[in-house]
Amino acid sequence: MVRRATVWFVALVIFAASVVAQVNINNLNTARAVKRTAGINTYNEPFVLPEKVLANGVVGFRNLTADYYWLSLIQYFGAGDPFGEYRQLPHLLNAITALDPKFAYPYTFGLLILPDQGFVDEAIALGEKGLVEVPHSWEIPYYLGYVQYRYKKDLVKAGEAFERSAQSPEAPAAAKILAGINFARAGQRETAIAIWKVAAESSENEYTRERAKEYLEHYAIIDFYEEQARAYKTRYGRFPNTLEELKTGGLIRDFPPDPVNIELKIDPKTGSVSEVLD
Amino acid sequence: MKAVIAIAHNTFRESIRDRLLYAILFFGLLLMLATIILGSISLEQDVKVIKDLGLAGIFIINFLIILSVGTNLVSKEIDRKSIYTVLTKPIERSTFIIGKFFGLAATLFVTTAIMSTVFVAVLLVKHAGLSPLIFASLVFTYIELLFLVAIALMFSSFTAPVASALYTLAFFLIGHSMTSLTRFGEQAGPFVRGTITAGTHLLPNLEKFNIKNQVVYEVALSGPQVLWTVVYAATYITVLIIIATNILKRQEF
Repeated sequence: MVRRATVWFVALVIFAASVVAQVNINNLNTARAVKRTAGINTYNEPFVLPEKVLANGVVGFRNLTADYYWLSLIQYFGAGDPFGEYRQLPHLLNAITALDPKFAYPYTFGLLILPDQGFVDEAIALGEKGLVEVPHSWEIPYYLGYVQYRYKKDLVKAGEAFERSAQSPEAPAAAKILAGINFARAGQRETAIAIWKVAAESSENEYTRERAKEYLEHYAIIDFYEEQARAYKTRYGRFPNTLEELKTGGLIRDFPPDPVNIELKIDPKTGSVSEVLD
Repeated sequence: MKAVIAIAHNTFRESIRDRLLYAILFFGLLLMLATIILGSISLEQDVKVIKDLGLAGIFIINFLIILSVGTNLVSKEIDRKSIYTVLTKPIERSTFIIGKFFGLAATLFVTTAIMSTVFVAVLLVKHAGLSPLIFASLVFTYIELLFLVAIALMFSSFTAPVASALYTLAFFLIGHSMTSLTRFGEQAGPFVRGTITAGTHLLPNLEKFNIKNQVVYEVALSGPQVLWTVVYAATYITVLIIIATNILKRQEF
């Protein structure tokens, strides 16, 4: 009886020690997280096998592995990268499209998200791969055209891509408008708004529609700043030197939150507002 | 024929009494239901994810059943010495092997049917639409499983269960690597290329049964594709059963 009680007591002590150890580990991690970036504690950067390994090593379950990487990518992009780099995004998208080349949405998704993370060339390469693998898609050439236009300023390639999108039998009527635009003469913002309006109204995917609406909101914010800049000039006789002056000058109370989070600047000579990447 | 049915019936009864089978099947059913959750976090790619995961899940679960039950079909009888009671009767060793094959085939038919029913129900709940290709893929999956049963049975007739499971797994991996092997062969010299080409023709090519991609992207099957795949499976399975029978005939009990 005494012996059994002793065994139970020892087991209880060991269990209590394991609880204490676990609490200490948690505290250590929390302390580390405070020093660095919030969320680092739970952050796991996805591991992507090299394309050659995936091409030859995944036997029988290529689609399933592509789906696994797709779900990993959504978690990765949705949860946020505490380092703000998202350096695995292009690798994940390449892996998915290597394993399941006919899976259309990753091409569109990549064209939508990669450029804003600094992967413009990777987005274009992905889009061009999509043109070959999913030739009937209207969305892949459409967003490829946007990337060429917006980030590469290559009006010829953008025009070709929009033309190709418009020729797709699945393209909505609105997409054909883009094929007729003379990009060299059209205003950049008006063109971007036209592009996103089509996406917001016609895309088959809810995420794409939401993303398009966010961009439209972003351009509405730019229009709002320019309107306030004109009001500033009426009041102070000049345009503000920075957007901050709209606030200090009493024109706006707070900066409206920009859903796409692109830094903006104001031209003190003309009062026009543009994106810093321009 | 009566003896084949009797052995098959006995094998079927024995395998469905195996608790491990129920554990594997339970996880299979959970997996089918989990497709709904995984599909819902896939940015509207749920139908694709459900089809991919559902079809792969049905195969994986049944393959686990083959590895756990099929690979000791004959060796267990030898270990338990119950084979003596069977073979002392006027029963051919080929009858014994064929009966074992059909017994496990019946078990896999039941487990495939149960999981397929849940899979189809999930597709109906998600309004994914039921194309004939889904049923074709389920039939092709079942044929591939029969193929693997024959391989497992062959190894089970002369090796221990663990070794038999490993060999069957190796054949599965080789059987699905034919495209990669062919690609390697194209880059190699004439001798290696010839050897690889011969190997790809002689070894079981299980990629012939993998039409999951065609299901997801609605690419129709051609009549000759179906016909030649069925002929390929039937002839190869027959050869494997003949080999298993001959190995068993050489064994002294």
